[in-house]
Amino acid sequence: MDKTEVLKQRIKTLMVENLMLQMKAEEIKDDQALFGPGSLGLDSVDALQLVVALDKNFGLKIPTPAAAKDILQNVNTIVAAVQNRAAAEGAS
Amino acid sequence: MAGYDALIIGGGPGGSTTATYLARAGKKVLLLEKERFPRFHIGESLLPYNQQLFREMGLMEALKEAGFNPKFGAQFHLGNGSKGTKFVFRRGRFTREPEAMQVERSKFDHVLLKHAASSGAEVREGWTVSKFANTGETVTIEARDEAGRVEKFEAPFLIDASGRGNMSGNQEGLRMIHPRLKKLAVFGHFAGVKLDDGEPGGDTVIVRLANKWFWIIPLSREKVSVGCVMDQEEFGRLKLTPAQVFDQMVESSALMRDRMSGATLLNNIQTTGDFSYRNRRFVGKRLVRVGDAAGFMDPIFSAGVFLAMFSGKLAAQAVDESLRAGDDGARRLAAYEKRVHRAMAFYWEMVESYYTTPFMEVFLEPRERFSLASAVNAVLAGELEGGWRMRWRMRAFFWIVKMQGKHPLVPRICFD
Repeated sequence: MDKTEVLKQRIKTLMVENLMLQMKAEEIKDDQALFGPGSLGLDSVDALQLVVALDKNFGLKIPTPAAAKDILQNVNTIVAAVQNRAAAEGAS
Repeated sequence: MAGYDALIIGGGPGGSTTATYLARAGKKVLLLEKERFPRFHIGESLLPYNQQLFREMGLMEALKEAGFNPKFGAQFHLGNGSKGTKFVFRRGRFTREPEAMQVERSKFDHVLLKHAASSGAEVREGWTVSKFANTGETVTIEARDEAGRVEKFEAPFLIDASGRGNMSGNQEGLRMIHPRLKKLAVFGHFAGVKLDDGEPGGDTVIVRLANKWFWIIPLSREKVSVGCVMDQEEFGRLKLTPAQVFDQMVESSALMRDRMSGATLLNNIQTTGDFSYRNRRFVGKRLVRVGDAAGFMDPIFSAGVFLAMFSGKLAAQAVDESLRAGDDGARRLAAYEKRVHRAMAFYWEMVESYYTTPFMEVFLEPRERFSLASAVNAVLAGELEGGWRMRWRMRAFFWIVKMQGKHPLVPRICFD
């Protein structure tokens, strides 16, 4: 499994464990919306808990509601944000 | 078959609460408790928001008769006495209950268990549940009485209120131990502990040192529970008896030395550890975990009994509705799990933050700007679902704590 796949798995597991989702990590699709119509059905408190968990586990800072809207669209966008942060850290 | 609607494992506050709500809803409930009450139990400070549950359950008279010590607030001090702060529940803008109780759990748990029985629950003491199984339409449990007689029980729903024994969570291998918090508590009951005069004399007093803290919980003016929460690693390194460790820890704090100067031990010093954990799931098929059998974090904010009773009530409601609907309750149990997990997750964040120095620095300089101090007051009182106005304030509080770590907004503290 390459690094991105591992990261996707970790994030899906983090979501299931921290948000008490009624599904297995494998059942979450990479591009499935977290919020809104046709989504996993998360609400604003879930968003808050997700922000905290991502900060704690990956050091990913999501400082504004606008940033949250961008980053928390689906697993793919979260993975990209985590990888961007890691790259930025590596560069600095 | 006796035809029970629900089986409950455990007769502590979680189990008694679930049993009482279900019995008062007319459901036939069997509660199995492994010990004979009264029995000692740790976890002696309650929260103001417990009072609402007591009123709903019809417990006020019995509790008043028992004469528990009223608690009007909580105090946090540094061990060297250099700084302290007091929270008075009735002064918090968002705190909806002014008063709580300090309780000798042997008495308190007994009052609650008797109330469950008089509410109509069948209560059997001296019965230990060893395992459970799910048949799809029902759940069964196997239990043993003191004489060793084994019996099987069956019902549409099972509530696991087995506390830190974590019966069903352990059977399914669901327990997740906190990776960093490996704490241990050393505690006893004392006479002659120095308390404040008047109402603050009933406060829970927390004394914080660099890497340990003490609780002072006045069960009465004459009997005070005092405990030290420290890292297991330090306790192991000392290679002393619990009583020796306790004395040494008291000696290391000027404030504790003062408060304990005239104190005498009334019972034995005990220890307990490995209490920071939660189960991966709080529900299963026709199964609900309440209180410590769902998870426990740390004694610091005295939320254990309150969370046990709060989750017990929610579990009873979910099970009651499912019995009336005649289904397996999967949807309602999922909603229960989400709601209880949120309540607990919030406390866990507070606990993790508490064990950092910036948290104490901010905590000891309460700001009423944006009513932040009132928000913290409400949280300390047990406000779990204060809605949006509480949530953003607590977010702001944690953000300030984070900032404090990098750019001090309030004075730094010194533990020495």
